[in-house]
Amino acid sequence: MQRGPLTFLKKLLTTPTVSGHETTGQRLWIDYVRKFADEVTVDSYGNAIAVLKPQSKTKVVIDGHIDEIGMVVKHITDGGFIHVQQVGGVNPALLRAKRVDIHTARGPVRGVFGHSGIGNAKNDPKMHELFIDIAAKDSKEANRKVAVGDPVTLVDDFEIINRQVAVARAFDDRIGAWVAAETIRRLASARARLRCSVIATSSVQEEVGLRGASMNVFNIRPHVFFAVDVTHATDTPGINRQQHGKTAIGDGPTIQLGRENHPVLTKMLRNIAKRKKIPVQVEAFLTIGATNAIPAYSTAGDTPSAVVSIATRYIHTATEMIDLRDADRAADLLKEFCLSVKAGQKFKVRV
Amino acid sequence: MRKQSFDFLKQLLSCPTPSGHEAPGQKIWCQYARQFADKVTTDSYGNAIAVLNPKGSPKIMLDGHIDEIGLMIKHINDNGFLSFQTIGGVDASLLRGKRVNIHTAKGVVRGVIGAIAPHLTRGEGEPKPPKIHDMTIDIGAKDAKAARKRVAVGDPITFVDDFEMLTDDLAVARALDNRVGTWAAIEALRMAAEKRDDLHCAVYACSSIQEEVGSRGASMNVFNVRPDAAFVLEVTHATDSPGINAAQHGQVKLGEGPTISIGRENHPALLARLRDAAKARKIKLQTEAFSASGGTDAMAIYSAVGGVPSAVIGVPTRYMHSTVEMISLRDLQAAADLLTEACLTIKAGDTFRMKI
Amino acid sequence: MNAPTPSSFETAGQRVWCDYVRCFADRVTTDSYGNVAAVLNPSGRPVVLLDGHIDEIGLMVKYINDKGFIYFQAIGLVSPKILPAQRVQIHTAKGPILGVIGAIPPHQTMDDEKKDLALHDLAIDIGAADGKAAARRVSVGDPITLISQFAMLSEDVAVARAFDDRAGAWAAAEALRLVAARRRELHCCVVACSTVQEEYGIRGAMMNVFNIRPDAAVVIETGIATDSPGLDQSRWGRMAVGDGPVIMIGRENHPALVRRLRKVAKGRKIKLQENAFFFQQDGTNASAIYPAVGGVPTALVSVCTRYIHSPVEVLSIKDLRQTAELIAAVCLDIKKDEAFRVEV
Repeated sequence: MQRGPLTFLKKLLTTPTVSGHETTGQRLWIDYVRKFADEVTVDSYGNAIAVLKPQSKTKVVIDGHIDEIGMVVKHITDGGFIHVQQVGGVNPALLRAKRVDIHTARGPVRGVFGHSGIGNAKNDPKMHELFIDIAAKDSKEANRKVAVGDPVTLVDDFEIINRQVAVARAFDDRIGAWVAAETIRRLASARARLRCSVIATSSVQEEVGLRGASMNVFNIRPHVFFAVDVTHATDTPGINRQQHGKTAIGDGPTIQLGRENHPVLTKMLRNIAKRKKIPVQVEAFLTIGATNAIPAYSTAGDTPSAVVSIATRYIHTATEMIDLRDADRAADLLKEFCLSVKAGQKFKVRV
Repeated sequence: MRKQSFDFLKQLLSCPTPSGHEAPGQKIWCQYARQFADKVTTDSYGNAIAVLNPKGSPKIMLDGHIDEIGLMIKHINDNGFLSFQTIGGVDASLLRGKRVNIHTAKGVVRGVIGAIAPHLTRGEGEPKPPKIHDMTIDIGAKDAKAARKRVAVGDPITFVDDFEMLTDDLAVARALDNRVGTWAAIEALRMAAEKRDDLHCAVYACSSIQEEVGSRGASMNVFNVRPDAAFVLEVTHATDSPGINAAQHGQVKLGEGPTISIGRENHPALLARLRDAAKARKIKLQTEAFSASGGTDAMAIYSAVGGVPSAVIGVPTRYMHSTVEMISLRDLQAAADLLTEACLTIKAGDTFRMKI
Repeated sequence: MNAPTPSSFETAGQRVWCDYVRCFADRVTTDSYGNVAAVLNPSGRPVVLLDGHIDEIGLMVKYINDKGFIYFQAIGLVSPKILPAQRVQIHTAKGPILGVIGAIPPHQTMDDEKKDLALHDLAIDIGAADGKAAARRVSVGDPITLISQFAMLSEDVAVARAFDDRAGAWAAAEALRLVAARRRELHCCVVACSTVQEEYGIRGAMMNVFNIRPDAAVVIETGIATDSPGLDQSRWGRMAVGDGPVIMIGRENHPALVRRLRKVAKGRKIKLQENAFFFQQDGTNASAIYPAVGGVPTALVSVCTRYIHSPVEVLSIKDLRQTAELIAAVCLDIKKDEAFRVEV
């Protein structure tokens, strides 16, 4: 991965963007993409939209959601300890003994999810049975420092652990937002060849109901919508491939088939991948979880859509793992798709 | 039932249309529709809409979904056996011992979902219900390499069970749900076309895709069509076979007429029209409470685009989502007749309101 | 509070609401499913929608057995545990009929193993001789409400069936009335909606947002109070009856609107409670409004209510009054053409 894009990725991944509190990350995304896009706008809930060649009639959206799962402060006890509620699919079993940052109005406050070996703490706690310790003297001090509703993230960082394989909190789905921005960057120099308008969207609030994408598809009314998201890699111990299919990190971005994935789009992607020698993997449509393609394809009439995914190990943990080349390839694949779109092209199932 | 209509029904029911892969069935529907409609169009995902009297008012949508539940290849195992996932609500306990058709890019490949012989499981106690991922399809391939020459991940799969008559009225087929709905929608359009001098409203018969995976086609259609009212034709659970508690599921019988449902999406003004139409044509109706157990395309239609007065007309069906779904053809014909009559009684500029 | 308004059968309540708002709204409209919208200052901008849902949970006749006992299904989320031994009204085409949901005497259940009660284990007795007699008076599809009238428990605390969410519909109307009294100061257009079918899945709100296309929205709901026995505040947050209206933070609750609510509350010396957003994903009409028609800045304001979805919901009248006051004050505080943005 080139240095500039890698630096941008690292910054995105080490910024807190809990659903509903994405602005800091969004600022980074906009500052990066502003250099290449013709127009950048932000809507009322903070979705960011970057357009290349706005005058073209055929609109192709490349979407990644910038929000990550996390927690919010729910209740401060009389003793000054903090209880949280989850934002999106957080697994409470993975929070004990982790360090956290509570993002308050006056900056981050460090704390820990306490787990005492001599206490009655369970090994399988529910979210409300956990508590965060910020070493406040009492409830008064805790209430001064932290407020109900403040977002909370784990402090884990980005690092490359082996060759091209990187670990971070929440590749899901800042990597998708990265791919969207990168597609614009890679196309900016080739804009003369573009016969469509390419619109990168950095969506908010996917993890709490695919909300940002619902707003975007209504406002933009694209002709094509790509959701770039993570998908479960199944190349680690304990995963039944009969149940979950075969997906490996490093084998290229995945294309999904069926349901929301429009057959003309998936065929085009596969042909382009073959022609440009981009390795891709193929999976059946998701039976667990959802992506922004779901509201996109059916809530504003019929919008041809498809999911392009980055194989990721350990999704929704603090140690998500991807092969960075897969993200690079996804951006290239989508760039080539955009370049292959003819003026006024229609994408229709032949009946 | 008119012979051509019956043949059309059989054709539809023998065609594979798993959600996301409806085109072959849609083609049959469109070819039939073109004989009667003023215009037949399809959209990007393969929804089909047949319009009669496009300048008419109000706009009445008749919706049936053409897709059926099925399976999809998820993974090709090293030993050449195929793992699969479901498309829509497939009952895992009904799969072992079934023959299937795998619809590949190069044509249909036959396979079987195996079952371990009872001789080999004797004495192992109560058999556990199988999980989807514990079953595989056998296409007789030696290994994964051999299998990959014939099938691919993502290929859709349907069961082989086709249409047959059990009696002179009761029909059995895989996936009456909901090809019968698309049949009734276009049949109503056909019969309304025969009386088009009396027709004031614009009739939009929709053959919707992907209902079984979330009423997606209907969501697209209602947004594109913006109807003033909608009638949804769907199968409804008949509760007259052994083992179903009427206290829990209500009472609906095969052969006693189509059903109307009360409450929720079912607009009282439309229900009044249906009751009047039933009376005029001497069609016996059954009444049920709105479906607590499942949804129909009406759920996606009625609250969309600012609210569309809707009503569900149910065709009583036994053994829904199995390969032996059973209906009374007289009930189905009555549903189509009811729809036709309802459309013909709608006057220009009619609105469907709540009386407050 | 005393009108029966089970989801999809709200007209009795809508009539009451309409008659009230007609006195001060510029225009009152209804839509095909019975949503009612009362508009003040239609040419004003931005358009601000106030939402309270008029529908309540209830039951519906499902099946009449040969002996004349009436089986039912739920309208909305109804716990079977609150049903045995209740008096009910079945709202038939010819008027309401009294019935009782039976309960097996304790003498006969004392030694039985405890089993989870299901809705279809219960039946309504209308004293009919047999199924035929019952079917002459009652039909499949007739809606049913429990009998429980509004009453004051103390000077400030009241009990009723289904404050959820007729209290919200009341507050929307009341806020409109307070704004109308000061309409010379009003820049925005206020549309108070008495919304139907929330309990079926926020359906009426989906219709309203599409038809009205507001620029902002405030949804008023009953909030689950956690100050009665058996509720864990570390899990649900602190929501106390009598401690003021509740604002929520996060998800659908637009930060600019939340800030505004705080500012206006401070100015009017209204004490607010705050909680993290309500955990259920499509739990209030706010979830239908905010992602629709391209995004509508929305905030949820709640009135703490104990024992929600039971016939004895309890809240503070002062909380309810202050909620209406707060929302009216926010409407009057909104400047001409103001937009609510997230600052990126």
